Amino acid sequence: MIAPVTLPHRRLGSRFARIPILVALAWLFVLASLVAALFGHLITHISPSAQDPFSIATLPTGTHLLGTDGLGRDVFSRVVAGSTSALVGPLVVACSGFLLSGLVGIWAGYSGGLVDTITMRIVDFMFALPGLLITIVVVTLVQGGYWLAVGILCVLNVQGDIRLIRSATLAQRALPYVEAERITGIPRWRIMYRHIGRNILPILLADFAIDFAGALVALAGLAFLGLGAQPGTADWGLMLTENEQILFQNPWAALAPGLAIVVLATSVNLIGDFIYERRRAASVER
Amino acid sequence: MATHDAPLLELENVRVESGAGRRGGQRRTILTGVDLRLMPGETVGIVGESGSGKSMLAKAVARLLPPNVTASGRITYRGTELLSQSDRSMERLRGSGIALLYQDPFTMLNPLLRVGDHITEGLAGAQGRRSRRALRDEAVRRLAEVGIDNPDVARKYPFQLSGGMRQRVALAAALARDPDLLIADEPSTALDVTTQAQILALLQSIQAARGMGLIMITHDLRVAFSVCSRVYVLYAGSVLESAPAAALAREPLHPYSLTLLVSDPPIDRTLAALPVTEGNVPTPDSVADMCGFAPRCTWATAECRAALPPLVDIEPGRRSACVRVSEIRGELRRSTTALLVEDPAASDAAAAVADPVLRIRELSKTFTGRHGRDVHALRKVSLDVGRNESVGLVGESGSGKSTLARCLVGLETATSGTIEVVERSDRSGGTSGGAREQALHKRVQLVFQDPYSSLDPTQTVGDAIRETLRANGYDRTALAARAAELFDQVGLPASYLRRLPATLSGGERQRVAIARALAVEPEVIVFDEPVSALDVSVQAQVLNLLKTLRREFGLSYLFISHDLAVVRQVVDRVYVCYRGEIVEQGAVGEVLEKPNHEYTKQLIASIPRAADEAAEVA
Repeated sequence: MIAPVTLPHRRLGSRFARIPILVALAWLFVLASLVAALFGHLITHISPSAQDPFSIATLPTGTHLLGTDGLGRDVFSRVVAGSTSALVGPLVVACSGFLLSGLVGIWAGYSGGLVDTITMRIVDFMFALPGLLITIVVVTLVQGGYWLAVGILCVLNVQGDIRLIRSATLAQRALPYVEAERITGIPRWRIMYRHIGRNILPILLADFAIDFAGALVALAGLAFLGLGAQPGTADWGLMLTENEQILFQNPWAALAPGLAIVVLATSVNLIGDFIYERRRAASVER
Repeated sequence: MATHDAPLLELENVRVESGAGRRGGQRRTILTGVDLRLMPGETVGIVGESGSGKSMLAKAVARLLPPNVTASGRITYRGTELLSQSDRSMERLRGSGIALLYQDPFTMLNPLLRVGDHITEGLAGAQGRRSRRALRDEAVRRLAEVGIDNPDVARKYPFQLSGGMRQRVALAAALARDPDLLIADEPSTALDVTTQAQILALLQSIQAARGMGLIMITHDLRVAFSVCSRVYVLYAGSVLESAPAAALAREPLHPYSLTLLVSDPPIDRTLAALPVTEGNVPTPDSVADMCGFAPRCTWATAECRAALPPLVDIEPGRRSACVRVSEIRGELRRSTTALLVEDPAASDAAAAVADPVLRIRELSKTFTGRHGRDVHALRKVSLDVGRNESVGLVGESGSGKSTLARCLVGLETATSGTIEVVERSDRSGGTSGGAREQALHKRVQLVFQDPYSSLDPTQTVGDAIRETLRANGYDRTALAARAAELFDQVGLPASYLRRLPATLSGGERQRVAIARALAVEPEVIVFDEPVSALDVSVQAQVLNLLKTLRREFGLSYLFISHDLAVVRQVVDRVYVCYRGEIVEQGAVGEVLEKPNHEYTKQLIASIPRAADEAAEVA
């Protein structure tokens, strides 16, 4: 007989009680990055751009928590200050992906016919483009820097989102509740953005997280190639390149921003997954 | 019935619950204190509504419970205690000892395996190595046993077969290792009526020929009576009554069994009102320490709510869990007939429609397929619905009845023919030229079959009603009052307006769907199988509601269903649809009693023997 394991009856009243520890840590890190981006100058007592010619590439000390880089700048202050560009760019990319895929994806999926065909052929065309290559070429030619890179990522990132949201919309469109609303004369835009939109919100949110993490890594990569943030700005990707040369004098100068990129991207993905699973579970439970 | 003394399967005090395993979560009781005994070669029915735990019982016996669901108690098969067996020895037992047949023939078969492979897969493992040729011949022989005589079928893929054929294949696959116990979980529910009858007859003949034990799990008492010798009635996780089928049909010994018996509408007459049991099936935990049926029972006293009554022997072979059975026995027996009062006005339905509100003329719909293979879903269908009339449209799946409904509300565009809706003269036709189609489908509303997916799950039902009212130009200041009024009309408390669909039962959701259709103030409401997804005891509530609404508000209905008994209760006239054509029409009593067309006769003949007929035989 399968012995019924008798567990002490747990009261799980609070919502927070069920958040796994990993997701809690991920939230903590994202919040910390947010605080650093907004109030970074209040946390650090050393300016991220102040050069100290007497302590170049030193290991961590009491004053320089993560040591200094090749120009004698405080690495900790620069990591804190770098969170601004690490958050803002990806946030813009993810928001544009959320809005554009929400608007265009639902519209194409719901309307079908010519609208759908044209949209999807454009998306197919964009899929065929080598995105990263185009970004590198354009940013190099125009000498654009950070915001141009963000702009191009916004455009190149949206195709996958649109495809995803369109197919999610197609699945919703076939459900009786959508047909019932059509029959009762609910306006088209309301069915699309109020009803279908609300029902596929978990997918949109998960997609937002994926976009954010992808853009973070892509922007860091571009900065590493010298195609993102201008030299001199505190940017995690840029710090990786700059401090690569002093890897053996102060490894923290390159490791800290590198770790920050990895942990932030992972955290956002974990949170996205968690939100998606929870919302989906809520909608499945009927 | 076999006469061996040792039972084939015996369940003692079986309890199934979820959330008790390692994964934790909320503990929920699914079944509690279930005793069951099956002799070799016997056929036993387990009858219950959704949520009664009947499918979990089957899974517990086969040890196929989902993760996080555990069974305790004793399940003994041929003297072997099953719950303590290792997974490996259970694997050997499944198929060769205990086999399962599920409800849905569309997902039960592996779409990538040929029909023959489904069967030989079981054969090969059981009887050692055999030549491929011998296996193929055996598969063909096994298919013949389930009534598939064409040997070519063995080489086909499941998608090339109809639902009934697939169910036959699934049965042959389940029988491949010659089990002596078959558990069939709603084996005919997903099929058309005519196919359903064939599958039930097949199950019965195979059971008799092989002398195997059969447990038939169903929600339909008629099905259980037609196949089983004994019936267990399951409600909210416990057995309320067990009895020989014929005895149960004649005289139920539990009020719930009575409910099941009388809420199944009769085919041979129209009732003034269907006997209704208020409320819904409770969860086992909410009725853990009382009689499960007490909250809905008209005979319930304090005694019934004091403790969970045990199943006790009333007479040989008959057990009931009703504590008051000796007092109310006579009343129960009388109620089986007294509650079924015939509607005297039912028979004189007008044959001709005097004042038509919906006029369909020669409507055709052709779906253009690939390679020029067109599907003619509707062929020159003409149909009238008179004002305040209820018209039935019956037919099997694929007969085109749902296509007709979709054309009426504008979800599909007909290929040719006309649909005309006559507006009431006192209503100003406020439709401007451009919005013709829009206008048509606002005057015809549709209530869908599946109440679980026809409401937006993210929206409260009150918002859904108010949104519908607003979209139809209703005065904004009166929205809330009108929504409450509509809920009142469909028998829902106004407090439900704030609820999400997920918190409502199927019957309540269907009421919301009806309220939403009423909000548009249509001339005609089309019901597409509105009760086929509901439990029998809830079905009666909704059917009565439809009758009341029609009487009070002068509504006109087009009622689409495959269930002739249900149609008989709510319509005046009926059209029989077969392969996209109307093959017969007339007053419902006449058509059902004196069918002319071959297809109509077939439909009527394939209804499982009803309770009262079984009683007559006994």
